[in-house]
Amino acid sequence: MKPYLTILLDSFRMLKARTIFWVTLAISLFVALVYLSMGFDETGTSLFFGLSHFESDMFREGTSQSETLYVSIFTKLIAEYWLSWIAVLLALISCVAIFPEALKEGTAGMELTKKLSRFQVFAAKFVGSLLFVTIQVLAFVLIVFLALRWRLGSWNPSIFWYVPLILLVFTYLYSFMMVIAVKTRSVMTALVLTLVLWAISSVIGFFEGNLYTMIQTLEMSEKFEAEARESAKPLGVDLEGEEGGQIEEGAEDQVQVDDPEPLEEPFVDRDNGDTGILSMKLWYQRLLAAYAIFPKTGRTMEIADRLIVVNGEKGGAKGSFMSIIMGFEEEEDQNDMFIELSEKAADRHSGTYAIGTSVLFSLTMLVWAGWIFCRKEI
Amino acid sequence: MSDYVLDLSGIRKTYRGGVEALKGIDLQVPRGCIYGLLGPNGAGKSTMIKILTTLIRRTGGEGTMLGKPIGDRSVLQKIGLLPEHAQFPDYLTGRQVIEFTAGLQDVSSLECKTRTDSLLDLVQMTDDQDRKMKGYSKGMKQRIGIAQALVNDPDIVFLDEPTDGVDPAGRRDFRVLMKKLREEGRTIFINTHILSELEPIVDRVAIISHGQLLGEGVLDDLRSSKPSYQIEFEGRLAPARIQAMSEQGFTVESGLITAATSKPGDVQSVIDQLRQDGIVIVRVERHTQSLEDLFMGFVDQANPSAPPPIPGAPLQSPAIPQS
Repeated sequence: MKPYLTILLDSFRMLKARTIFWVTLAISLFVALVYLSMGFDETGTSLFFGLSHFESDMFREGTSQSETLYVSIFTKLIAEYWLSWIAVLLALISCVAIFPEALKEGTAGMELTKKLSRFQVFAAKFVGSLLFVTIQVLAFVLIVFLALRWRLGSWNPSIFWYVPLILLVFTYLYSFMMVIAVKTRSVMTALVLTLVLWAISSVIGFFEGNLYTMIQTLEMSEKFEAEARESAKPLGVDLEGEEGGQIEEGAEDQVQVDDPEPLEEPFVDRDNGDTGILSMKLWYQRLLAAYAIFPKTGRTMEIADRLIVVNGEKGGAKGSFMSIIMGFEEEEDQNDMFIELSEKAADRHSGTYAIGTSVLFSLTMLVWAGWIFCRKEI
Repeated sequence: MSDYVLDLSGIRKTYRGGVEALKGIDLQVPRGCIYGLLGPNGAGKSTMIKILTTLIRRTGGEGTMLGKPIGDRSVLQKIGLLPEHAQFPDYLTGRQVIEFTAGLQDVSSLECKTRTDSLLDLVQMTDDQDRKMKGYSKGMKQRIGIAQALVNDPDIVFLDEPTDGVDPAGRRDFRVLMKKLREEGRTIFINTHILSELEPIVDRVAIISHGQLLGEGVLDDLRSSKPSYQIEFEGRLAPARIQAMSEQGFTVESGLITAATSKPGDVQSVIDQLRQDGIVIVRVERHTQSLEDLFMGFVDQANPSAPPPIPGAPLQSPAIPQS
């Protein structure tokens, strides 16, 4: 056990000795402090510990909107941008040198010629990197947790979901980075290729989501149109204007008796077959295949939206920042089709699928990196 | 248990790309001696240590270290290593580096503290133990490197180019330290191409070049295997005399005649001839080879077409890259 702890301690010492560790920690604490400085009183919202004040009936002490706003600033702005992107990037930069350093001739002679097997050294260094990220994220979320209690008067432990989720996102990328790092022993190559992977997986995720929504929109339009047409036929209404628009006598009964024609091929154009939508579906299938392979960083972070509790309701962080704080989802006149599409798009891949396939990717990368690390000649 | 801490037979290593770093090395290292593995840069010395310490895998050959097959990790707990170009974490203090190695070698906390204190004292680094490594000189780093190699109380210590970049005072201290370690009964395996560092302390040497073992044995035996007599004189020898002496097997240089013999009687005729010519004899001395002579003799023998070395220049072996 002692050799493991020695490697862990050394990994931590190494990271602590790097300027970027302190820069990351300082920025994290600064962001957390700014968040902490925001508060509510009887007349409105204050910023920077009262230096600035805005009067508001909606966002003041005790209103549900103020809690929604405060939690959403964290979930939709800080977590979505700072924690999901910048903090992960800084963590990757901090940890990128760990494995290339370990395989340098002079260093390897110190660490890899001892009692621990190479795989044990590899595992200890990997765990050390995860610990580093955990400490950074946990410190940040802890401050937010205390801020929520202070500003809103209630504990919200659900925000700690961000710790494992960010750790997962970091692991997806770091596992790939480890492969490149141990293969090339080049810090720069490992970092650049990891960022490329991140960009590619984000782009694939973006297009996959948007193409899905686009196809669903068209599909649903077709469906509504077909349903309207089918409903109108027994009533003698020709929606296309070929026959008269009069409802025939006794037609109402027929509507209830007849089953509507099933929509087997909603994508196919009624006249010629819509090659455009078919082509979209084909591209979507290709994107879906790529999406299955690549790590799902964005989707993993989106899972938090379902887990965070806002105003006592789990999943209160779903939707965009503006829609949440303005309460769009509660508007009665909101388009039903839009809601259905949004929900369908959000549920198109389960959290288990997103995390499961990404973890599989990470495990594959880790085994590969471990294999290279153990076989590498120095 | 075998008297040999290292018993190797036909060790070979071919790197990717076909470079043969070791071409079948046989070595037996007795317990409790200072053993020098000598060779030019790129001869395969570091490759040998890397194989023994599992940093690389051998291509062929068999052997044991401390009675266990080469590559058995359980042996690593009983060895100490100061690698070539050792890079100690610069964020650690000298003391922490020693403690770091102790931790990796599973030395108990109590033992670690006691040993670290005594090793710091041994390498004369007690006063500087709490300074960061980045503030140390090369010599101080090497001292800490030696101390960390000893923290697990090893049976065998591998030191790869331990005095590389160390100043003369540091080299002298190193020699004293090596003698102390030998007195403690440890086996010390030193890789070096700086022959003068090793000569005063080494018990046995092996000379390798281009991955081949050229010679091996007790240093004094090897040195005395080619004894000679040297006669230093003042004055000018007649060309005919030089010709005659050369034909008799003597080497005549400016002011010096060398006779490749161990028998004093063989040089009496030369002395007589010099006296006959009225030449003043300054000195007659039985000469044993220096380690450098020995080394160069082996290397020249293995590679007769190589140009003679430039005095003071580092020994080079251009055919094999640095390993």
